[in-house]
Amino acid sequence: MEITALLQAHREGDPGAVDRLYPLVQSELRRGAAALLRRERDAHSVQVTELVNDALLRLLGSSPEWQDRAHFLAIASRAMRQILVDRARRRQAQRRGGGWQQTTLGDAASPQPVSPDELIALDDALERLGAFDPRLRDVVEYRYFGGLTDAEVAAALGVTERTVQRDWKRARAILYTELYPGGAPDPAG
Amino acid sequence: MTDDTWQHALEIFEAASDRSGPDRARWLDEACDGDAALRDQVERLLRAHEQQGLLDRPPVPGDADIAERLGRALGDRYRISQLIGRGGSAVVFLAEERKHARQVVLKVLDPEVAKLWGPERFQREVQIAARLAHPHIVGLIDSGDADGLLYYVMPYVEGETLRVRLDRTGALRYADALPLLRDVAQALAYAHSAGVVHRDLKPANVLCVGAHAFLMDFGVAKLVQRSAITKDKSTSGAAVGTPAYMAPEQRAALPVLDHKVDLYAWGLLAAESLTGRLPQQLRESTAALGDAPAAVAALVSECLAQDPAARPADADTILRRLEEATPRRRWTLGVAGAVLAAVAFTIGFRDRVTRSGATPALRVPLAVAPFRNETGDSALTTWGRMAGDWLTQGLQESGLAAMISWPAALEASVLPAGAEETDLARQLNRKTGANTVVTGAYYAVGDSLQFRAQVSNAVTGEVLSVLAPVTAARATPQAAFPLLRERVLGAVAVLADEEFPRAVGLRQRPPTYEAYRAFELGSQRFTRQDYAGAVPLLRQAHDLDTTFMVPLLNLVSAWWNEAEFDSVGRVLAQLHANEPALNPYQRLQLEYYDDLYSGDMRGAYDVLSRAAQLAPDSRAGYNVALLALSLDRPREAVVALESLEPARGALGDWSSYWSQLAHALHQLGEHGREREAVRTLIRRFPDRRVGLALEARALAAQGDTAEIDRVLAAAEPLPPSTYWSQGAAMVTAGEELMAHGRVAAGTRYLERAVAWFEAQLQLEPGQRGHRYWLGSAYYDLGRWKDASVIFEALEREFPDRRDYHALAVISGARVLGRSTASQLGDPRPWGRGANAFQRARIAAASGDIARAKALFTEAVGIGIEGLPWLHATAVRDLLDLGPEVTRLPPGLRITPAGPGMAPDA
Repeated sequence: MEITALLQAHREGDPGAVDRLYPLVQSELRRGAAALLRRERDAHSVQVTELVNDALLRLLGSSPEWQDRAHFLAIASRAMRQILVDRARRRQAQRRGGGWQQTTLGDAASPQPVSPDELIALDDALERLGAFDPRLRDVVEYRYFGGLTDAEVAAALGVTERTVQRDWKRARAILYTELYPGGAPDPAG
Repeated sequence: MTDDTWQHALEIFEAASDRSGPDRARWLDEACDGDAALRDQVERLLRAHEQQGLLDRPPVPGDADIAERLGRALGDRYRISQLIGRGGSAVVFLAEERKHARQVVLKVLDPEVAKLWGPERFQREVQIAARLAHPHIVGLIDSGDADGLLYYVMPYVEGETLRVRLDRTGALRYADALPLLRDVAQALAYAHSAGVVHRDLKPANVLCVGAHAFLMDFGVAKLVQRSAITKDKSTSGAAVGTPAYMAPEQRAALPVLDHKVDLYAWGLLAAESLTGRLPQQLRESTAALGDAPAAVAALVSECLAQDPAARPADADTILRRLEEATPRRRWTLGVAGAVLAAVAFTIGFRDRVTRSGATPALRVPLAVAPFRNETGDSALTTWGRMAGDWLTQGLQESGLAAMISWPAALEASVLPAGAEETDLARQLNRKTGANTVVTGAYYAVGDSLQFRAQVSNAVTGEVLSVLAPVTAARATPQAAFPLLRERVLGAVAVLADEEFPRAVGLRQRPPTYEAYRAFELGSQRFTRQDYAGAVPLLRQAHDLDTTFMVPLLNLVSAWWNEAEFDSVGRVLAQLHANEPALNPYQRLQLEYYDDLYSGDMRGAYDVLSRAAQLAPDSRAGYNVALLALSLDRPREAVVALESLEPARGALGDWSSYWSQLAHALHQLGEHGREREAVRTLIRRFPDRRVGLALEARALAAQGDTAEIDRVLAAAEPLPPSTYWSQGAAMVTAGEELMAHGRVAAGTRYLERAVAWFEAQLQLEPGQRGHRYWLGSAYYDLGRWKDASVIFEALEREFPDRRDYHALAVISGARVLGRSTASQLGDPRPWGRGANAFQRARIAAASGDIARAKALFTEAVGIGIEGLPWLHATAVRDLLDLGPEVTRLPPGLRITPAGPGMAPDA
């Protein structure tokens, strides 16, 4: 299974593995979320299909603890966060050792890539946010790291889309006050 | 700050963020009421809210490792030498193709764009573009999916883009611009005739080499451009690409876009080339275009009309008017010149025809006859030959069918004196071996010419498809050709496609080629049960050709399966508004949906049976089986299913075919064959976990407990949280055994299941599926209180689940000995049967057996969705109903374990 191999490669320190892993995990997340949105049919309907990738589930924890699709989305989003932050920390360490340099293909139209520093700062800020209001943290994990849409996040959390939008707005503002206390980040950074 | 003051600050922030200017300031003054710390916190939140940061960018940008990934994935074929450009939508590399030792350009689609479209869609678009072969189109060498990166390869042409040239030199003189503009228009004329619209024509997509121009990025550009619109609409301000070169209807993201968007873009290209001004600076200044003749300025201005209908009819018209405005040089009319110069690609058809080898309708090879001139004006006869030539080229390029070459068809079409026109098809068959022919004629209607065409079997003369007529001005008959060609391609696509007989009526009037392609993609998604993915494609197919009704009908099914019933209602209303456009089969389909939607399952069944007769190979047959099952007509379901071909065609990848067959055989009591069907399901679709429970059920119905134990033990260990878990199989087996009078054995399995789920819930507290099954097992075992606790908790946690509500009421009635509710609200009109059934269970649970029997009879009369699962759902209540329910078919019959019986050996 491709996801298995990529997770393994990531654990062994292949920095490219995450870029390939992320879209795969995200597509699994989306399938899980789509099923959630569809709402499972009546319990005994014959159309219930299990959409979620087993390999991924096994790998996200050696004993899968997820309870249902919503829980799966939460765990997978969190796992994606860990994987990305993990890589960022490694890169940071390498950079301190002088072994890594970020390449940018400078173009005004293309978005600035997220730097390892930013990602690590976000990770810390998210922890604090979670202590204040766990749902705000969850919304950020689903939306940002899981790449889910508002509707999908709403289905996963069992709240309305409006609530998700409100939470996102709040969480984003709180995080930015922490991450960018001095105002807008330097576009060159 | 405390959490409370934080919350307060957040609330003020939120309300303030919806206001602006003095209104916001006033609001803040009021809300903060002099609390400076609070005010400061809110202000900081507002500032943070208005800035951009990492949360507004994806965490994985995608381009950091692209070159490295490409090198790894494609290293054996290409040596990536350098990055030569990065736009909003693609990264461009110079590379060396190892095999031919030549320079190529390798473009990698931005991962964001790629994500939106997926490799499949990309491949399709690239394939279409790859068939374009024109002297002024930069062709594609290769394309694919390299380690998740979608890329395509073009020849490396030493030159510069028109963008670079204009930036370098400013406005061009008319004499320099004309050849470039003409080349682009010729490329467009050719591409449009092949049914391909560029949609992202702009200076950056035009490559200039000396005095000549080449158009790049067909197909791919369209994907990029569309995703830019999608993104624009769906996310806040993360647009890819620039809308400056989009036609107004494109900017409005109207779904119906035709070749006129390219004509608009051509106008912008011309204006910018001649004035050096960017599109956004152009609007008011198109009256004079540098040193271009006034006629050219007028032409450009016409191209820039807001209303697509006010623009020139097609690129050929542009070419003709350019020629008229510039009479100094003679050059051939674009149409014939371009097409004849193009190399015909016919490689694709073999694959296609082999795949549909058993196709009844389209027998290859196919020939196109010259169109008959019925205008009475022999000066117009050339157009008939041109139409034939043109259609032959189009069919060859489409790869839809093996073609008889045009010269051979032309020669074979000369009829001996006195022969009837109706003999033409047979003569073509005799002389060229063509088995299918396209024939046609054109007529003078006022100032217009009307082209009519049909597709016939060349051997029998049977007419397979009659196309809607296409009209053009007498002065420019070729203006009819693109649409004529689209219609013919659409008709042939329909005939060539084995999956399409279900749309029988369509043969009278084919969809456009583009619409058909969208439909085909949507249908693929639908077959994979990706209904959400099918919806936009089906919608698009109908929007591309509003006479094309099949996508709309399938859209009803897709929404239905998504349980989006409001959307179902809306699409049904749209279909009713278009009823006159529906053919007889489609009307039946609509009637069927209406019946289902209004809860008349029996009516729906009758309609569907008629539809299935009209279209024997269609999925209507499958739906007949589904309804027959709900209506307690399992024999009819088996007959319907067995008359279908499960391994290919419409049901090729449809796993539910096998579970439905198993259900039907179960209902009939043919448990041996039932198990075979289940084994096929498990073998062919190992992912469908329901297989284990179905197999346990089949074995339990036969009382084969030894085999159940073997199967349970041999089953792949599933992730414990799977809904159709081992435990679920145990419950199913226990219920089924009980229903067949084997109470003791059934009890054993149910107790095993209880232990299994209780242990599992220790590991995964709260798991919903496990709780449902555990509650069911408790209930079946008569542990009413335990069952009631579980179902009531589920009901509380999932208030929108009607089934949990019903189970809570039923188990509650068992505990109290009376019902707490006699009615169950159910807003779904088609849920009447299931609703009556639930009420029957409540009555049984409350001890009111007479009422329970009456309601049960009513429910069976209406039809119960999920009837095959009757035992597993309600065995305990059915046992209480007694012999009444023995009128059920053998497989669903309840065998009470009365005195004198030996229920378990």
